[in-house]
Amino acid sequence: MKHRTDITDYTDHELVDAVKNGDAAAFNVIVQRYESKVIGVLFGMMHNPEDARDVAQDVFLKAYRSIDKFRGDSKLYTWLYRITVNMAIDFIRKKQKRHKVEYHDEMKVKEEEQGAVPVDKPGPSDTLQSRELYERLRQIVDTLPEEQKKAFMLREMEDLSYQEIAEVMQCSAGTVMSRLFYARKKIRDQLKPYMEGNE
Amino acid sequence: MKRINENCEQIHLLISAQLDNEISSGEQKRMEDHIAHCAECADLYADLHKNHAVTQGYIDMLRSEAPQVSIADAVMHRIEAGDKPKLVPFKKRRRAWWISSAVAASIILFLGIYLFFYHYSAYNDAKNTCVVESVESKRGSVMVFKDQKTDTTIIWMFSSISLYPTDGELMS
Repeated sequence: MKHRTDITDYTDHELVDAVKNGDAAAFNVIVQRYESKVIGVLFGMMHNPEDARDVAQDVFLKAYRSIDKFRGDSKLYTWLYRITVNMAIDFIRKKQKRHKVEYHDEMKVKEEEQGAVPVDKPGPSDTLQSRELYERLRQIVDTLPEEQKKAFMLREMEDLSYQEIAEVMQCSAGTVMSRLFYARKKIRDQLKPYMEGNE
Repeated sequence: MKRINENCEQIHLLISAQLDNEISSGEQKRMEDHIAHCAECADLYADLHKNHAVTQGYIDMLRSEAPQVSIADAVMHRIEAGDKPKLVPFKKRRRAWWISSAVAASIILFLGIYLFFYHYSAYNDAKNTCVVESVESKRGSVMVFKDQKTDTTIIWMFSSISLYPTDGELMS
């Protein structure tokens, strides 16, 4: 067996075993290995860099506190993604509840001041047009049902296979396929008027 | 030509899965054969492919805007400080709500049972007492109770006439 002294060379399962045996430095390696992926998913779901960073810290803290529950029959990153998407959804729910009134008031004022995002009028340049299109897409993705949103973000943002998403979401690959289709269908139905208006 | 049959739903799933390279060559052929004869599925195929390109652009934008920072030091610092996640998971909050509701319900139930038995025992005590004599007149009434349980006699007197009449004469 190859002898390794550098902890950064450890496999995920070796790192987990080390953490379980009280080696906190091994957890540091896990954080460094997956922080950009976790922050990426969180940012994709929450759109706020500060929130993404804060919740990412909570994700790793939660992972550390519950590492004994990780049995190792799934991949470490699917387990981390599970914690990540669940905490993202919890955070979004909490934030929506807290800012429901303020958000609507704020948006109303903004729309009155700046005018609503034009739906049927293309912008003056391709970049602006793309920006508007992405903003529209972001709004649609944000309103997807939670399970569809999780599947969509894990697939599009992280390129996970159906089997990996199924592991994260603890469902079958067929359910993942179905959730992704309905997410895309909803995006298609809601984006269609905008796309046709810009053609 | 528009042809909708029960296969369309399955073809819809395959169209979406094809974007993710999650279908076999057999499924690919089945999908293509169907689309060649089904205008609705062909429309969906075209739309999903067009949107997929938009989605890729959107995802690229998200990736480029995602914060590129390390949180490892902050996480390790919080671990050393014995810190806990600030965000309470929704399920846990829901569980906490159920626990407090269950505690409140138990207290109410306990109080209810206590009050019921308290009054029930008082009722039973009263039930053991019976009126053995009752005399009533214009000046008042006298009732004699006999408690069978303790074998005691209670005499209860009511005066219907004020001891301090308006004329100031004290009744004897």
